[in-house]
This record gives sequence, C-alpha cells and structure tokens, in this order.
Amino acid sequence: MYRFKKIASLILIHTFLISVALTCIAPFVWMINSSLKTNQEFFEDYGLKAPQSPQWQNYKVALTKGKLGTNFINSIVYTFVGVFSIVIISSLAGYGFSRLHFKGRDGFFYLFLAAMMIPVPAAFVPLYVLLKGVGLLNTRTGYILAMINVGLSLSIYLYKTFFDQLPKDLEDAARIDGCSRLRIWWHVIFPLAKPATGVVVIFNALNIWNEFVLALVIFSNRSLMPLQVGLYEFSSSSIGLTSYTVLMAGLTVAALPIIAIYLAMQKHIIKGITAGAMVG
Amino acid sequence: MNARSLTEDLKSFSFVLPALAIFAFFYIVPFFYTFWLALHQGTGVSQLTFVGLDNFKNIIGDGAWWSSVGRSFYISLWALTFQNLLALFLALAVDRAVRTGNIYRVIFFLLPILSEVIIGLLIRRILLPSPGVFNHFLEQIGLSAFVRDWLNDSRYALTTLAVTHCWRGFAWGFIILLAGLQTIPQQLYEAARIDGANAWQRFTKVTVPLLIPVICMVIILTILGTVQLIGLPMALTRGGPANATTLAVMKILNELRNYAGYASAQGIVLGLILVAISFSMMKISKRLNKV
Amino acid sequence: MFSKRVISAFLFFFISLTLFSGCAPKEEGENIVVWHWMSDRQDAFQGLAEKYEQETGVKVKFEVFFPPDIYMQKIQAAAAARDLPDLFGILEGKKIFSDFIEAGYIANLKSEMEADNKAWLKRFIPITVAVNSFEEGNVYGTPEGIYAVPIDTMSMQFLYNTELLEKAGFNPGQPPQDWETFISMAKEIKEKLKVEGFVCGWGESWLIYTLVTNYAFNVMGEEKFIDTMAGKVPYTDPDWVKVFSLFQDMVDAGILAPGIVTLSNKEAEQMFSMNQAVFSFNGSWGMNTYAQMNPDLKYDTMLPPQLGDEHKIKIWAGAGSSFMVNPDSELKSGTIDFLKWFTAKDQQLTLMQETKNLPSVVLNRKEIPDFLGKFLKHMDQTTHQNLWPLNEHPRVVEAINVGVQKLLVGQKTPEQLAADVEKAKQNVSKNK
Repeated sequence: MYRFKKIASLILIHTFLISVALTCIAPFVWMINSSLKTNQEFFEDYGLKAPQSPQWQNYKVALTKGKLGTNFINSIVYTFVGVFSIVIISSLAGYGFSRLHFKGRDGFFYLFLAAMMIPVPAAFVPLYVLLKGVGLLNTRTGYILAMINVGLSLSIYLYKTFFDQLPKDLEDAARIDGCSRLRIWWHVIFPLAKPATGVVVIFNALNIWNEFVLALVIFSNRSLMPLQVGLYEFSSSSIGLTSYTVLMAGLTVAALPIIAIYLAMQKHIIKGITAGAMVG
Repeated sequence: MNARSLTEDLKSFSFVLPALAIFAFFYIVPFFYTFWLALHQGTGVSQLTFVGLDNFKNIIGDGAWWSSVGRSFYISLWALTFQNLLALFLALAVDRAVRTGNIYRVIFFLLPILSEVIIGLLIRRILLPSPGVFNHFLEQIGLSAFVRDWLNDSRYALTTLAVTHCWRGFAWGFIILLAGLQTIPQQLYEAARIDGANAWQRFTKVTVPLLIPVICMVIILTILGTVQLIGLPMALTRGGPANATTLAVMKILNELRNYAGYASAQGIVLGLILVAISFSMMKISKRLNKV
Repeated sequence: MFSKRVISAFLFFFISLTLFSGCAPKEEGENIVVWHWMSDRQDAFQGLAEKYEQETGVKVKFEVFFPPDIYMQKIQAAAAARDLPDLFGILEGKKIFSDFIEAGYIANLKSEMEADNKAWLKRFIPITVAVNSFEEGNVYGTPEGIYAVPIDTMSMQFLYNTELLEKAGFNPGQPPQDWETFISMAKEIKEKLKVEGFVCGWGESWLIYTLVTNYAFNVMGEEKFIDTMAGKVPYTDPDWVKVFSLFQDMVDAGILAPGIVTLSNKEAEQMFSMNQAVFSFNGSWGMNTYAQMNPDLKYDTMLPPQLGDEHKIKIWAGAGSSFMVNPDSELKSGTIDFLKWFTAKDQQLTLMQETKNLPSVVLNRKEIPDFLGKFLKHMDQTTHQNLWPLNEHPRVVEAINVGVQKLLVGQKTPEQLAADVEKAKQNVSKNK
C-alpha cells in the first residue's frame, strides 16, 4: 500500500515537473523551428508546423546581411570584460562591507541598496553629458563602465551577505600569519566565494547581453553596437520586416552564448544561491 | 573604537572605492539631476521653470498615476502568490526527485534567458484573436468555454500579462527556494517523523520556519522585479487596451517625453515606495528569524 | 574549470581591445555625420552617400538608431551635451521643434532656401516645406523661418482592397463616398467574404488622433476645430460628440478587426497586406511594407468617407521625414551643400525607387510609378498639425486617444468620452 502511494506520488510529481518543463522549452523549439522555415511557411502557420526542408541559409543571411557579426563580437567583449570587472569590484566591495571597518560603512552599503530601488528615468541626459565631458562617449570603455554600474548594487549585496556567512577563523589564521587585507581577500576569501561568483556572473552576463537602450544612447558608431541593438534594428530593416524567419535565426544565435554561459556556471550558481539564501 | 587609525580606515575603505567611484559617476550624479528635474516643469530640452514641490503635490491627486502603480502591484501580487507558490511546489517536487533534479534546474532557467521582449512578442502571436492560436488550442482540447480575447479585453489583459510574467520568471524563485530546501538537514524531518508528525505537519513545523529568510528575500526580489517591469508589457500589449496594462514604469517613460520634470518626480515617488517596502521586509525577516 | 592562465589570457586580450578603442574615435573632421531612425532606408541612404563621395570627394556617414523613442532620447541627450551631429531629424510635434530652435540646436535655412530667387525652395511640394516653417508671429514665439528640409512627402488616407471589393460584387473603381455607405459596405463584405471590415494600428495612439482631427474638420469645419483648441468651444459640444460617435458606429457595426485597440501599425499593415481586411487607414510609408509583404496586393486610396457635405474632410499630408542642420556644426556649409544635392531630382528619384516613399520635390506625374501615385491623390484637401496656428495640449490629446480606446472596448459612450476630454482640457487650462 505504501509502495503504491509512493509510486503514485512519484508519477504525479514527475508529470507536474515535465509539463512545466515542456512549457519552458516550447519557446525555444518554436524559435528554432521558425528559423528553419521559409517566409511563406511561417506566415501560413506562424511557425507551428515543421518546415518542409530546413533553411539553414537563414542563419547565413542573418549573420552577413544583418551585419550582426561585428555586433556579436562586441557583445561578447562587453559581457566578458563587464562581468569580470563586476566580479572583482563587487567582491572587493562586498568584502569591505562585510569584514572590514571604516567610518560610514553601513551608510554606504544602504546607499547601494537604495539604488536598486530608485529608478532614474531621465538618467541618459546627464550620463551623456558626463561621458562626453570625460571623453568616454561613444567608446567601449565608457559603455562597459556604465554596464558595471548597472550590476553593482545587486552584486555587492550578494557578495556581502555571502561573506557574512563565512566563518571568521579563516581570516584570523591568515591575519596572524601577517597577510595584508588584499592578500587575505585574494587567497582566502575570493576562492571560497565561487558560488556567489557564479550567481553574479550569470546575472550580470544576462543583463549586459540583453541590454540595448544605453548602448543606443552612448554609441554613435554602428560598429561599436552590441548584438541586441543590431537585432532590433534588423527586425525593422527592409529584410527583417518581411523575413521573420531570418529574424528568428538571428534571435537564436543571440540566445546561444548566454545558454552556454549558464550551462557552464550552473553548478556554481546552485551552490551560490544556496549559501546566499540562507542569510536572507 | 579609537584603535582604528586613519590609515587603517583608508585601507579598508579602498576596497569599496572602485565600486563607489563608478557608482558616484553613473548613479549619484544622474540621481541628483533627476531630483533637480523633479523640481521643475518642462520638456528637458529647454524651458525649465522651477516649481518647487509642485510636481510632487500633483502626483498625490493623479488618479492615472496611482492606477498604474496599482497595476504594478497587482502583478506583484500575482507574482508573490502564483509565481512563488508555483516555484515552491516545483522546488518541493524537485527536492524529492533528486537524481533528475539537475535537468529540471537547467530547463526551467531557459526562460529568463530569453529577453522579455521576445517572450512578449511570442505570447502575443499566440494569444492574438486572429489567427487565434491559443483559442484554437483550447477548442481542440474541449475547453472552448474558456475562449476569450486575452489581450484586448480589458478585464483579462492585465491578468494575462501577470500570468505571462509569472511563467517567465518563476525560475529565479524556484532556484532560490530549492537551495533553501536542500539546506534543511534531513535529520530534522526524521526526528519529526519519529515524533509522529504527518507530511503537512512536517511542512509547517520544519520546512516553513527554516525557510523564512529565503522567503523574505524572494519576496523583496519579486516585488522589485515586477514593479520595474517594462519590456514585457510593451511587447505584449503596448500598455493597452486603453491603458489597462500600463504599469508604473511605462507611465513614467511616457510622461518623460513631454513632462520630464513630472516623470522624474514620479520615479522618485515610486523609488521611495519600494525602499520603504524593502526595508520593512528586511526588518520583518530579522524579527521572524529571531523567533 | 578554465585554468587561471587561460582566463587571464582572454582577459588581457579583451581589456587591451577595449582600452585600445577606449579613446574617443578621432571624429574624422571631413565626415558629415547624419543621425536618423529610419532603419528601412539606411541602405538607400548609404548608397547615396557613396555616390556623393564619388562625385565630390566629401564623405557622409549615416547612422541609424532604432527604435524611434530611444532615438529621440539620444537626440535630447546629445542636444544637452551640445553634441548633435551635422544633420539630424526629430520626431515630435511643433512644440518640441520650437524648443529645439529656441535652444539654438537647429539652424534657420530660410536665407539658403530663398537664395537665387528661391531656387532651392521652389523644388519642393509646398506643404512639405510649410510644415517645417514657422510664420511671423506664431504662438510659440519662434522667429520666422524654415528650419528643416523635407526628404519625402507623406499623406494619410483610407485604403481599400480592390480585389476584395470586386469579389463581393462591388465596383472596385467606386469606393464608398460617404459614411453610411462605408459602414454598410464594410459590413456586407465582412459577412460575404469572412474578412475584417476595417483595420488600423490603434494601439499607437497618434493614429487615433489623426483620424479624429480629420473628421473634426468634416463635422464642424476648420474654424470651430481651431476654436476648440483655443478653449473657445468645449469638447462636450454636440459636434464633437458626433465625431466620437463615428467610432461608436464602427463598433456597433462590428466591422473593426478584433483586438484593434492593441494593434501596432506594423501588425495592421500585415493584416491588410494579407487580404485580411478590406478597409484601412494608414500613411504613405506603408507602401513599402505592403509591397514587400505582398507584391500582389491590389489596393487603392480614398478619402475618409465623409459625413455630410457642409465641411470638406481634410487628410493629413506634409513632409514625412525632414533633416535639420546643426548651427554649431563645423561643416555647416558642406552639410547644406550635401542637403541640396540630396534633395535634387536624381537623388529623390533614387530614394523613391528604393524606399518606396513619395518624393518631396515636384516631379512629373509620369515619373512617379502608379502604385506610389495612390497617395498623391486628394492633395487639394490636406492639412497638418504643424500648419495650424496652435496645437492641442498633449494631455488633452492623450485623453482623446485613451478615451477612444476605452470607447472601442465598450467602457465609455461618446458622451462620456467627450466629458472626460473636456475635463482634461479644463485641468490643463487651470494650470496654465
């Protein structure tokens, strides 16, 4: 009787899980399916039936005609450098807020927190003026710095709460040995922070990869634009307007790197959120 | 306290310095500009007249504004209940089926990877009354009583938006809750079972109390995430029909074009509301934790 | 996972790449830079830029920023930083136009236009220049002048699908001339052929307001319409209720495409090109979309079907897009020369063929392909909001647009809508 109950509940659970999982995969399947159809087919059934024969050239067209190649590389650069920088900067700051003491420490921390919540709708005007003032307008550096800022608050919050959880003895041992703060951070703390780093990486990678408003405002040069800008514009260009299928190919290409990063970081993420979550 | 010398303080402070420098440049300055703008009326291109706190006073009586804020919080409510309960159930389910748990973690997370705009456009395609893909599907499986104009009927549009958002975003809550669940030591469950507790009692006496910090964090992140929603409603219904799905941030962006000062004031008001909610949530969390 | 070495190597590469391009690119002093939002015309523009370089050796760079909303944000930010390019367009109403002029961001081209016995000016179809000009003593206080150069003409008209009309047994050469005929025809065709009667991108509010003003001219005449905006006539006036009731008529007749209230212009264009609706309301920019989505689409334009003969209905026509010169540009005279070349007959012909937009310069009727000529009809019955002595306050326009949307979903009656709009108008006048 117990056996039966157990199997029944297992079946129920799995059915539930599988049905939800299916709805999650569905958009991807639809997107990839549509990208392999001809335009005619797409309009007839909105990508719901399988293509007659897979149109791989849609991908070629998307990457060449859409000039998405440069944009793709730009996005990779921005995401990579941006994420790396955020990880370093926010873990340093998180450590500072968590383990080090200086005047006004808590005040500054709450400042970062509040920034997560107060939107600044007209920010692009002063940003533009400021960046122009320091000569960073329309440059990769300027954009990456802006992107770093976007992810700072949450990343610092995550790192700080994670560090709060670490046992203090580790550092004490290192300090007794005479290590400077920086060395403690680099050799002891940071390696232990892998889980938190995992979360910070995927979160910021996603944000930077999908960003396009700031890019449009800061950049005036098409060759510096990231992928999302290129895609958006492509969707409204003479090709994109009519060839939805090519657009789908472009979108699929755009989604792949993020999926790759997520799969790679996946193990760390789960551990990271675990530890961070327990602090609340 | 006085043992900390100035150089010590500075050395410690330097850890925070890079972040603070970037933050000051890219957020603080724009924030002051926004605040300054909020004290003026005008288009932001020229003709700015100082009006003091007039904008803020006008916001108090602005029915359309508070409606849009209300809509944002309506979606938050959906997210807090439907989305997070769904996430909780899924987390509980996956917690049991540990072996295959990993696969599900990956699959569920696929959705947030796709940008809001794409999901919005996709769902819109499916829900549009013509060709009526979704309604067709409902009829096929015998649920034709449920056929509606999901996007254009002002009674359902907002809820459709809420459900779409919940579906897209549950993965974050799921992962956090799952992690929380998996850190509850099995012995506690064993002990409860020995004491004769049934499944429900184990859940309420063991699981929930230990999950409180996690739950509070999820609540805060959910509210922040839903109130700042902009891409999804834009792609799904463009704020229609007749503003039925115009959320707070969308309203601000619309206002920005002609009334930059007023829009800035609205942004600040919204931000203060969120700050108030978040900080009170954190206080509650601390207090409940002590119990 | 990755060894520290590998990661460091990658990073070194990327960071150096970044820093290398970290300095602001030497804005090649010789380049004329043009900013715009018209993603579907970028290729054509660049083609012409190359041609210009070949002919004169001057380099022109067109940069496109889409979508238009964000383009305007960029323009505003750049204006505040005095970083506007040599040539650019703006996308808002006359008020913002005048604000820009007042702040010194736009050059007055009146003298260039009128030089040599108005050589440049005479090229253009008059309304395209009129919408870019400010008259003496205008309500915005802007100095008299011509502030932008039109690169195309646009008009907004009713469209009808001739093929569907014929299939339903009507004469494709005789579209409905008046409102009642229009309603009954749309209804009949809808029933007979199972298509939608009327489709329009009413999720984009400006399409609603345009049509409202068209019919306002028809129902109450231009003078009363202007008087309403000046506050002399309330929106609760029976004539206004009549205008709003026209939308109610369409709802009651059931001819509106489902979900019309959230449709974007693009979606409406798609429906029309797929022969899914028999009537539509759109601007001449739609011709490009229609041609690309369905080259076999058979359609024609007509005036919005009139209600009564007392006042003539007027459609909006004017410049579709225009370019403005930055007065602080170092290449100002070179830019103006380019603009003159850009709006010369040959280039306009090229643009017309490649982007399917109506030229802003006067051409022989023969030089314009038939399908484009559709939107050149009825040019004697046109108006444009930039030509009116004043424009309605944005909040009131918003009230009208949202109100009509509410009417379309059955939340308000025309009378209630009129009352709401009047309330908004009162609010606005109070705060002045």
